[in-house]
Amino acid sequence: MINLDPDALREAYEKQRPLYEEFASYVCAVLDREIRQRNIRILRVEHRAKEVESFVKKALRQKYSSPINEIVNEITDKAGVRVTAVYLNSLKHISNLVSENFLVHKHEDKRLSLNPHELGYLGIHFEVSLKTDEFQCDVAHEKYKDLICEIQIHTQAQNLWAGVSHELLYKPVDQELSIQTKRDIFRLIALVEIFDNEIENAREEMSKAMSDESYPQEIKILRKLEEYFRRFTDKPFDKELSAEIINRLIMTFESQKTSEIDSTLDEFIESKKDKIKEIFDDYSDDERRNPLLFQPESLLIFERLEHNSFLLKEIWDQFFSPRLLESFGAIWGVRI
Amino acid sequence: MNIDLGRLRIQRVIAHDIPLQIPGEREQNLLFSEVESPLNQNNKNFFKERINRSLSSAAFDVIVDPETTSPVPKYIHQLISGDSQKFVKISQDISQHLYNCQNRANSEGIVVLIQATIQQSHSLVILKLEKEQGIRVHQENINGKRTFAIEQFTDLMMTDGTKVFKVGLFYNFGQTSETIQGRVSDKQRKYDVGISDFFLRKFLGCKFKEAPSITTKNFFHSTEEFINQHLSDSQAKADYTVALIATLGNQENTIDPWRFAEQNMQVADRNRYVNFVREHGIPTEKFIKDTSQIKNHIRKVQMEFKSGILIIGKPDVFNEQVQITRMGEERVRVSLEDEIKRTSGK
Repeated sequence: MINLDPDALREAYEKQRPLYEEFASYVCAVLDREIRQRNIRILRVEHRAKEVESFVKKALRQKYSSPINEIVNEITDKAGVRVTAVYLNSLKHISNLVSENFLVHKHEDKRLSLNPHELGYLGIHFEVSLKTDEFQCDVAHEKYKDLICEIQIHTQAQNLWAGVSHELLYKPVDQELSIQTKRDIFRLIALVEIFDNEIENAREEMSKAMSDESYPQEIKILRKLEEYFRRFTDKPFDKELSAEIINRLIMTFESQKTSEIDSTLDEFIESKKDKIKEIFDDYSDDERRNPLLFQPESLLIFERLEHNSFLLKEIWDQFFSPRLLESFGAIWGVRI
Repeated sequence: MNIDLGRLRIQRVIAHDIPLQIPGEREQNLLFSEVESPLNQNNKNFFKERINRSLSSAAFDVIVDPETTSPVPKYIHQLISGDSQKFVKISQDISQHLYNCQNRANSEGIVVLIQATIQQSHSLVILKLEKEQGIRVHQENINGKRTFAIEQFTDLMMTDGTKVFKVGLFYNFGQTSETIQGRVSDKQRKYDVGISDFFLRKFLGCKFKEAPSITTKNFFHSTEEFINQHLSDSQAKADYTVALIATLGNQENTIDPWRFAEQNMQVADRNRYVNFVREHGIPTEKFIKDTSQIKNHIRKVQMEFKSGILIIGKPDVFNEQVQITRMGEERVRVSLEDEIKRTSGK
């Protein structure tokens, strides 16, 4: 019998919820930063604090008999972060990041823990708290000291399955799934795994193709730029436009070897990352911004403005509108 | 420390109307703004870009004049030190001072004060603008027929074609008002020379960071050094030297190293040169030319060859009479057709 006082539960958690919201936001920011630093492609990283009503329902469902303040502590998913990766292979890298940056209390790979005949959520699940040195170094984090955050890591296909399975599998308790229904659901799970595996295979094939000499240079450079671009923004971009512009910008380099251009870019991005971040943050919601700013080649344009603006202007004016380059100059703070 | 204009970030803006000085009515009641202007990020970015366009092409480095009686450096120091509570009040004080400085010769306008950061340090931008007129046209239908509706505006500012525009960016990497530095641009100057004295000295209480004669001298020596020590192409050396002497000797009142590179150097040399002079502390934007300290060095061009032969002549004569042809990376052939005026032993 459920005999907990829901109002007491609600009141107890409401007081704490803002702190969990803050904590989840902090964990999310740390993960986002680390993921971007390592150029791991993700679709999104989200955070939330458990809704009050959801908390109360869980407490009632779990039929806790402890005092209310202990129940509040026993429910560990009050702060949650979800990472949706593009590639299956990224899950292990993101898992490593979690282990490096947080104190892990619980770690479960649902794909491994589920038996083949079991249906359920796929993905990797962590329960973490901050490491001791984290709040020793920064007193502002002292308040997060004993808090637990749940981190879920999955691919988009696994996320899709999570949403669908929630609908399909939570049937009335007295209703057993028919064999046919189970078979249908297993096929769906298999599709999810095939989808992820095929994307992984395609990515590996493309990587091999890119190392071939005959692969278009502008695409190789674009792939490199896109890695950097994704450190600063998730905005979509026009790939064909990028290829066309990069193709012209290659002419502004003394050595037009891809490896040397890559190395120039590495150095430039590292030395100017704060400035680039400021610019991307400031222009993120500006509707009248230069349309090329949120394209990966903008990083190359900034690099050229910094190191060879004269040649950049000579080449640029032959193919593209001078006003666009003048705008880049004004944004970067250099004369053109 | 060089400032990076790309890292200018606008935070808050306030604008005040500065009316025309009416003779005999010096203490006219001025109606200043009482709160900051509402700003979205689009506006902030617009201001940043317009300011950068001015300051990156034709601006002068300035410092506080220790003998100034203008209160503006003190006000700037207060705002740059992070005293943002008094932003509105201080902006009104600065505007009052501007009005007091002006006379009938100065036009009415708007003064805009912008609290900003640059490289994450507090900074202040002061703009003086005049209103402009313009029209906007947009297509519409009248009685089912296509036409353009025309709307007139008399309160435009900072358009792409704006000619009247003074801007000063101030920052302080020191601790007192004396260490305030700035970069100031004045687009109103008729012959594109410098900054209006009234704006720079009387209003802002500043002076040029470096005397134009020193900057000109440094420009000359650095450019010579670049030509002689950082180029292997003899023809380029010859051409650039002639261009340098010609630039210093012409009638223009300013020197623009960036423009000098663009107009006289091969593309491959331009950026190296601009970076070189910048590293030697020479502004790459326009500065006032004053050749008083190098007069004896710029009357003629002198070319000394490895063989010991010397050719000396005025830059215009060099261009007309002396033909230099590249004969490989380091060698040139020099042709000169002229009457021998005099020979002597030396």
